Amino acid sequence: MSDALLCVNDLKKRFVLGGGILGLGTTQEVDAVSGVSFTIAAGETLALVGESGCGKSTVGRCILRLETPTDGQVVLDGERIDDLSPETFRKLRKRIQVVFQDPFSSLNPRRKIRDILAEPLRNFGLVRTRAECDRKVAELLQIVGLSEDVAHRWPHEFSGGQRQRIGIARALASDPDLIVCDEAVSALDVSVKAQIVNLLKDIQKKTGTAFLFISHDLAIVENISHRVAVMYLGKLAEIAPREAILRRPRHPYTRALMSAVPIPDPAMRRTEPLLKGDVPSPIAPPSGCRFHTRCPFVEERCRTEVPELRPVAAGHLAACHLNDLADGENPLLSAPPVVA
Amino acid sequence: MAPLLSITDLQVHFRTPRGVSRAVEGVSFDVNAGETLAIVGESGSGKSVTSMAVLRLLPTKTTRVSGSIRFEDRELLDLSEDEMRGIRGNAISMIFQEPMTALNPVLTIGSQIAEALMLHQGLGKRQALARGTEMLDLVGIPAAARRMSDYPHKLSGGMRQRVMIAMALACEPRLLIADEPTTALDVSIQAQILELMRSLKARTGAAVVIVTHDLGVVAEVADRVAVMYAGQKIEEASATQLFARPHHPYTSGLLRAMPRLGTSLHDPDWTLASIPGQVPSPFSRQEGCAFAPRCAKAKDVCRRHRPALRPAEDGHSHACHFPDNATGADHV
Repeated sequence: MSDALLCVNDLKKRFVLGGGILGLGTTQEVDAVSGVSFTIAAGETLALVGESGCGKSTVGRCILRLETPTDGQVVLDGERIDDLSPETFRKLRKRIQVVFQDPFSSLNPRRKIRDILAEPLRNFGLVRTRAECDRKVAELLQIVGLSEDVAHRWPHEFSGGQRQRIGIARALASDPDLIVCDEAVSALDVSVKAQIVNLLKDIQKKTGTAFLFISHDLAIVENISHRVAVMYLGKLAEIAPREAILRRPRHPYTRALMSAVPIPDPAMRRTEPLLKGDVPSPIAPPSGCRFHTRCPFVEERCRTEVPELRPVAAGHLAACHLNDLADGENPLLSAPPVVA
Repeated sequence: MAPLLSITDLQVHFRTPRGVSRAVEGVSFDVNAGETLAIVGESGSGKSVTSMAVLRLLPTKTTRVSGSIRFEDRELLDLSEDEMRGIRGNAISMIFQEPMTALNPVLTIGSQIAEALMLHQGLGKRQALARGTEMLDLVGIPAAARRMSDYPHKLSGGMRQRVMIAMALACEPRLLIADEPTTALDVSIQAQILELMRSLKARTGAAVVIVTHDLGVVAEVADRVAVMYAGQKIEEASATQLFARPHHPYTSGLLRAMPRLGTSLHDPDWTLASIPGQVPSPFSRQEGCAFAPRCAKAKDVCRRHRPALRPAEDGHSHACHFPDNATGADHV
């Protein structure tokens, strides 16, 4: 796809664990990301969903070059950015920004809000004079719904939601094409979470910024994304437009994740059986389909043969052998929908 | 029948370098034997502090606790530290949010479970270990006997929380306090743990106080719900009533802000409802209703007079001058 803003091709990231003191101990390797591909169009929000340890944050960090990918490509606007030197990548940083999960540790407590926001403006040479900088800072604060006079206050004076607004303002300072939001609303209270989700959507409408929205919370993801990618143990299980994946998930893991979301209504009881067991260790992932140890539909073939991520409908890709069956025999298609 | 736990006009104030933090300001509620009460609120609402106060786990030097906490005819606030130790982990036990920090990393799972059994139930080591293995088995830990000699770091988050639950239930407490027991867990594990808590409650008959910010969790486990905001209880009702007919605008707002999977599919212009503004600071409590600055229905009276908690129908109560969904509300 040449019109994609960002292309991730077969991304792999391997971490080496252990080694002990002076590297004399034994080491283990863990494939945090083992061959992930997706694209993000300009102005689009792709959600990357999965449970802890699935590698979703590592994908984000590889795109941001906070980690160096072991293999694969990251292409921004047709240009490979994964093999650039750190110095060359610095110039690109203004096009890809990040909002982190914890608004308490991601703002420097010793700098006033004005200085936190002025730093990217000056670093990227976006403002020349002090007056220009002040004007731009005021503008950024206004975009995220804070008043101009907060510029002279310190991070500790703000609540979690307000700090997250400041973090978003900082990401917006360089007018980026893409913002990686890594669990950006997960630490916030329910009433404030909704504010920030709506703020991100408004910003996207105004600025056309694309988001990679990394989250474990499908109910929140539904409210912000255009497309959803589901990750399990370092691989994509499924990727599809938001509505398609909600109405008719084509991977048993997606279905299980959806039915595990608690329903805020005591009159409703979940009917779907729960996923058994824990996520296996990524150090020794299961053979064949990585989900086979927990899958309610597991067959002999799943234990040995790795399912390819392949198209099952328009724009809808899934990595499950069940989709090889005729539609009438595919339990994913005949089961009642998880959301009515 | 007298309630198992009865909290009356509980106040908790912390002395801090920034001034006095009024974490809990006059909260009252009862917990009956065998029931599950959920205390719901956002950060800073005082929900965790309330539950810590019951077990007297707050730092004594900087905290002022007043009011009454009665548990089975005993006033917990008057007990000596020794007497309290006899209650903690025995008649009342607690599960915390983060199982890794609540477990001792240098002791095996087995010795941690056995400790409480030997201390409170006077079991010998061998009996305590056997009982511990039974408990691990009960909470669904595979190969329980082998797990007894493992250290906490070898277990996943979900398994650790199961161990915490096994420890908490080992001495057959009459009351279990669970502070955000599933918040640190993945959704698929959260569902398993909630299921486990439900089935264990049915078997042991222990009353449960679950402290949470997540209305989804409340809907899954609670019989009754107390909603807290800025150190006060602002609404209480049966779970069914609260979800169907919330009276306090804050509760209504929280319910609307809670995303439900699939809602957006029916409406292309769907946006998530939010409550404007921020939770007020515990250092500067203002006059009037604490929620007034964020409330769409607030009038002058709300900003001047703090509404008292008043009973509505069927044991439902609320603290609001202009309640939602109320029949024959007595407006001020």
